[in-house]
Amino acid sequence: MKRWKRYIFIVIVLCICANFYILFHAQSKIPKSVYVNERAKPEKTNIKETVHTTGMTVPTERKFIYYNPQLGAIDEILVTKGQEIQVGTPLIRYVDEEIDREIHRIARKKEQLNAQIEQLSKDIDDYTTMSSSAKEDSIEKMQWEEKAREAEREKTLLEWQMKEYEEQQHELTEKKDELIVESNTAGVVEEISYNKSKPLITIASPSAVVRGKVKEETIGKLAVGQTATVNVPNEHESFAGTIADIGKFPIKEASFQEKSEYPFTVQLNEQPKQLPFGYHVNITVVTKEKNGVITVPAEAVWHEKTKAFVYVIHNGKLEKRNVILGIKHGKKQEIEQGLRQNEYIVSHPTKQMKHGMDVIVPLEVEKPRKETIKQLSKWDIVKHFLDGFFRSFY
Amino acid sequence: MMYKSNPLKEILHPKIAFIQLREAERVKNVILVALLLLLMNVILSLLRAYFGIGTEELTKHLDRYTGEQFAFLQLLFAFGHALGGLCVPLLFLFISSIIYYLLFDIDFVKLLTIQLPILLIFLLEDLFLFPFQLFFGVKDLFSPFSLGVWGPYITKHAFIWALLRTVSLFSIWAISIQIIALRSLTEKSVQRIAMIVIAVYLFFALLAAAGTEFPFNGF
Repeated sequence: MKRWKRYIFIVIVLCICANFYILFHAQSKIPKSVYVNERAKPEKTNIKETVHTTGMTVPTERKFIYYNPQLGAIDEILVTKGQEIQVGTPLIRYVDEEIDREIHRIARKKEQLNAQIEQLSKDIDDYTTMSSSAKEDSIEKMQWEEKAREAEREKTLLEWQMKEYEEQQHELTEKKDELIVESNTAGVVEEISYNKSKPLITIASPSAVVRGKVKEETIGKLAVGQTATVNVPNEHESFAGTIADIGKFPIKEASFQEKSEYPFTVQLNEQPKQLPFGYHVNITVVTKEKNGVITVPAEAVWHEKTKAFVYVIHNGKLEKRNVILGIKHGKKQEIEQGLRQNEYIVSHPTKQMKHGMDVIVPLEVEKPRKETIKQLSKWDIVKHFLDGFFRSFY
Repeated sequence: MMYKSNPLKEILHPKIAFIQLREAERVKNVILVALLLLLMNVILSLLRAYFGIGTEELTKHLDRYTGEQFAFLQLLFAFGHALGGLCVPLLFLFISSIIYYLLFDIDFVKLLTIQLPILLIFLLEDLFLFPFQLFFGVKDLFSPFSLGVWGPYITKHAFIWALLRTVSLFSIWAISIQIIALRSLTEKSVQRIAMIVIAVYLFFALLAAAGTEFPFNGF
């Protein structure tokens, strides 16, 4: 009796194993249902493709003032680091020893001449007094007068010489003034360097642009004129701008081991007031923008090798449909081709899903409105109620 | 002597239980156990409907209705299913009891009592099947515990599939319990009782197959 039972048990187990094999093997003929927990309808929305990267604020422009050896040696630098300067603010004063020596010499000459002229004026006065005190028509008087005239001539000569020296002095002072280099831009002194390989003074313009970096895989997506949003980390502030320039050379020297990164510049529409230069920011560049396109949740797209699919619920069956993907933004994926707006799709496809499977969906408990019920025909109502009833048979 | 209805004991130790039933003068708890089983059946039906099991036909019309309408129809389906979950076992309980009552001269309450373990077995079958339906998409018709899975390999007729589906591990179990019970109560030959029980089961099987294939397609 016991053995008989054991045989029956073995037969039952074998039968069930066979059943399971028939049911679940890869080419099983048994139609199966699939439980679709969540379904969604494609949306018609605007979508944009963005590139996220980082960057920092830099001055729009930098002016470099170099040492000019033709002007001589530097006497003094007239600005300090960080100083704000305007157009015309003196920056550097050069020194030319020859001019200085000449000015000095002329000054000494002038002094000499002055003394001489003063002396002559005194002499003239003396001669005039002497001549006036002398008798009329005397030889003495004539001599004094002669002397006075001579002194007068000499004085005029010296005065002419004096004028010449003054002109020379003026010229030299002007020349000396030319040795002061003035700024022709407004800005901030960013750096003063005495290193010969660097500019002497670097003047940063007061307005800022954002310099970003982008990896070589994405550089192709960027183009001049694309809009970009600059976000200051940890602050809600953001600035709009456009890409003004994309670098042709990598930031660091290119190497075979590392991937290159390229610089690009974002021109801001509005100047950020509080941001100092060199402040790190996040940049979002809108590389593509499309309006009124069909999008689905990105999770709903099923990828197989290079192809993309969505599972459409069509007449209660799964339809594995090949679609052409457009751009992706966040959790949204544009479907360029293959999907209409009013079709239901499976939100979370799984491995189990196969084309042609029957779909079952969970009950959504919500209180129906009267109008909803009125819109349904009586037959609809009865039919589905009876359907439920007869599903209890098996 | 009094016998307390206990389907669990009856399916595990049928011989002892039914000898006790035969000897008993009164049977207690029949209605309570029957109601309990019916209630569990209704709950299971609602649970199945909640997860949409068996709503393949309804999903075909998903595109035709608005979301709200569809939800309402789902609700109707669930109510229908719950009602079916109540009525089908009840019908089975009474119809089979009446048939046996007409054929054998046994107390009707005792006949009802021996149908209760059968209900429990069918309930167990539903319970076992439930995870397969939910997680592996197995349909009612193709229960791995039944011959239903052979259907599509043998014929194209869905009615035959439904008939094959009625031959399952659980139905064999139920039939054997039925035979043991009736033999213990009537003391007639096994062959005769087996024939009658199988015939009655076949009747129900045809009924169930007809019910399952209720012609909705095309509407």
